[in-house]
Amino acid sequence: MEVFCLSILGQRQTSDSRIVLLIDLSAAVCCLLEDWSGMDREKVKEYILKCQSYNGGFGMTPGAEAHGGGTFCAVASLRLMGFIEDDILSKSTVSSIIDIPLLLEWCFQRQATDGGFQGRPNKPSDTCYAFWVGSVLKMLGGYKLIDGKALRRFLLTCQSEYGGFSKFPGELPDLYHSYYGYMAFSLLKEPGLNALFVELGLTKVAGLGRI
Amino acid sequence: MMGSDTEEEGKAVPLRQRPEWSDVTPIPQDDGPNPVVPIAYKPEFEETMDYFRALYFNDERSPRALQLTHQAIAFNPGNYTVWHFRRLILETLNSDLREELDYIEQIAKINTKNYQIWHHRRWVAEKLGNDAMAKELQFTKKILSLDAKNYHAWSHRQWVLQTLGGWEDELDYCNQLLEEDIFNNSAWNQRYLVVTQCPNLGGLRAMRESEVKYTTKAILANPENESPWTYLRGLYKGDTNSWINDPEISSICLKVLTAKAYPVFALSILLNLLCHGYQGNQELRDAVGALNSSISGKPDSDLAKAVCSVLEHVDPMRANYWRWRKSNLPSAIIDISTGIESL
Repeated sequence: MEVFCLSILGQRQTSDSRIVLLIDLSAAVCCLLEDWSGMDREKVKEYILKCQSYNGGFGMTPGAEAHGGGTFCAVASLRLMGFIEDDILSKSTVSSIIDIPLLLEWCFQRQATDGGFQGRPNKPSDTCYAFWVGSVLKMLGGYKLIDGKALRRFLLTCQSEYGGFSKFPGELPDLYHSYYGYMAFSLLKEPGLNALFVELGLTKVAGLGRI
Repeated sequence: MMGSDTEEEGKAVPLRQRPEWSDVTPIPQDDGPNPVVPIAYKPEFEETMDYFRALYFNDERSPRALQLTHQAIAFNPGNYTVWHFRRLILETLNSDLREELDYIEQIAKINTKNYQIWHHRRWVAEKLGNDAMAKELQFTKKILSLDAKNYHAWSHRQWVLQTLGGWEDELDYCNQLLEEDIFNNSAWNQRYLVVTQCPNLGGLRAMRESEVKYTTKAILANPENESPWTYLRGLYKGDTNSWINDPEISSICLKVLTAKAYPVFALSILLNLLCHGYQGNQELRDAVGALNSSISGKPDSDLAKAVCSVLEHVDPMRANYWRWRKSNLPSAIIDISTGIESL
C-alpha cells in the first residue's frame, strides 16, 4: 500500500510507520508541482479513512492512537487531494467521508487547562500542537471557536528569553518548536506575521509564490 | 570498539593512523563553495564520516565497514544514509540478525524516539519473521516501561501483533498498564485494538458487555478522565441504535451528574446521545435541570440546549464550541416534554 505513494519520492521504503506523514509529503509535492499523476488519490483516501481512530482523531496507521501530527497529515492530505471542501463547518449539512463531528470534538478537547494544545489525551501541552491541531480546526472552519487568549498565554510561557520557542514552558528553545510557535501565532492573527497556507505548513507567500 | 585500538584511556587511535585503514582515502564532506551555516564538527566525527563516505561511495560491504557504521551511528544515530548502508552490509555479509536486535536494543534505550532506530528494528524483525515475535513484544514492553506512551514503541508493537501474532497476553498487558495509570490513552487505544482485532476474542460485539463494565468502572473512579469516555463511545462504533438505546450509557451519565463529579464528559456524551435520537428520561432532565439552574439560572425545556448551556459554564475553555453546538443542533430532535420538533 505504502509503496505507490513513496515511489514519487524516489525511494523505495517499506514498513515506515509514519505512513500518513509520507502521504502528506507526497500530496504536498503533487500539489506544488500541480501534477497528481504519481499518486492514486482514491487509494490514498481509502487508506487515510482507515486511520481515523474511535475517538475521532487520526493515527499514523490504522489502529494507531490518534495523534495531533497524524491528524494534521490526514486532514491536510485529504484537503490537498480535494476530498474535503472549504470551511465545512459553515455548511448546513455536514456530510463527509470522515466523521467530522467526532474529529471536531477531539480537536477541541486537545486544548488543555493551561491553554496549550496537547497531541493526545492526558498528555502535557506542547507548543507545536497549537499548529498541528489548530490548523486542523482552521481547515475545517472551527479555529475561531478555540480559546485564543488562553492559547496565547500558554505559547508566551514557551517563548525563550533568547528568542524562539520551546516544547514546554521554561525549557530551552529549538528550531522545530520555534517554527511551529510562529505558525501558531500566525493562526492567532498576530500582527506582523504572514498568513498561512496551512495544508502545506507554510506561509501563503512561500506556498503560492505570492501573498 | 576500543580494545587494542586504544592509545590512552578513552581515546581511540585515529583511523588515519591505523595500518588496516591505510588503503582508504577519506572523502571530505562537500558543502559547496559558500556553505551556509557550516557546522563545526569535532575532528573525531569528521574523520569517521570522511572514511564512511569513502567506503559508501566504493560500496565496500565488509566487516570493517560494518564496524564503521557502528561508530558513525554512535556519533549521530539520525544519519539515515549510514543506517541504509548498514542494512546493505548486513545483507551482503549475511550477518546474524538476532545479534543486530541486541545492538539496536542498546542504542534504542538511550534514543527511544529516534525514527531511524525504530525503522531499522522493523527491518530486522521483518527479516527474522515469526522467530522475532516474542523478542519484539519483550523489547517494546521494555521501552514502554520507560515511557508508557512512546508512540514508536506502540506503533512497532501493533505491527508485531498484526504481522507476527502474539495476541494472547495483550489484553492482560493493557489491564496491567491501566492499573498503573488509568489515564494512559495509549493503553486504552491498545485495548481497543485488542478488543476489535484479537483473533480469539470474538470481536467488538462479543466483547462489548464486559468492556462496558470495565470502562464504566474506570469512569466512576475518575470521571475527569477523557480516555474511558471516548473508549465507551468507541465500543458502539457503527451501531448507533445500540448506543442510544443501551441503558448502561445513560445510566453512567446520570451517575456522574448526580454524584456532582466532574460533569463535562458525561454532559458531552449525553449531548451526543441526544443528537443521535436518544429521547432522555426524567432523571436526566432533573439532573441537567438542577445543574442548569444553579449555574445559569435560566431553565430550558429543551434538554439538548440545557446541556449545551451547562457545558458553556462548566467547560469555559470550549465555551465558544458549546455555544456553536447549541445553535447547530440537529433539526430533528424531538423534545418529548413539549412534543414539538425543535428546530
